[in-house]
Amino acid sequence: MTDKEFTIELKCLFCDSILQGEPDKEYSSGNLLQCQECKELNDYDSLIDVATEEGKEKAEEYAHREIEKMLNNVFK
Amino acid sequence: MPEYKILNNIIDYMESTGSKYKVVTLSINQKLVDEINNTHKTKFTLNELEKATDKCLAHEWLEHTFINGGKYGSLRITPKGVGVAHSKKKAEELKKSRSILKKISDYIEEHKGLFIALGFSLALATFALKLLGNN
Repeated sequence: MTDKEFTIELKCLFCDSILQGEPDKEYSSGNLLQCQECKELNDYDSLIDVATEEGKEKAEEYAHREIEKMLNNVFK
Repeated sequence: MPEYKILNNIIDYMESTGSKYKVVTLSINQKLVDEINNTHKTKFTLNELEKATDKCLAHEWLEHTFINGGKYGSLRITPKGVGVAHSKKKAEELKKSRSILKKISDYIEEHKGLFIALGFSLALATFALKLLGNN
């Protein structure tokens, strides 16, 4: 199995639009990010939690697919 | 907004019992309506909470734990739902802690349409007075 990188975009928790922060600003724990579409404020820590969950799901799916492929090759 | 009241109700329960979101389930019924109304001094009806639940399900803030639990039964909050509840709570805390100047500035920003209309009416009235005065 090869190493794989996944890109997870931070999406607004309220309307699912992709969040775009200010270019020169670095966000950290405790910050609130405003959605450009719906103007709701999104908690930075919660956004990271949701993105982490999404990343885990994608990694699991990828691992399952790869293991399935490997097993198929073994039992050919 | 009843949907945030539902999410907050779950978060409050999780925090008071030390439970993770995966093990807490709820059903939308009259008991929950009474609980929310008593806690928040609101007057929501069961129908309103069901509609709010539809919104929560559509946005994936809530999900079903079982397929046969009914539309409003065996519901669980999702990480996204937890995030929404936390975001709302933090935004409200931030709003409460603003200085008076910031509150005035935000009020003007939120009602800028009204201020523009007021300014326009004032300009129109001044113009009309000037015209009438000249005649």
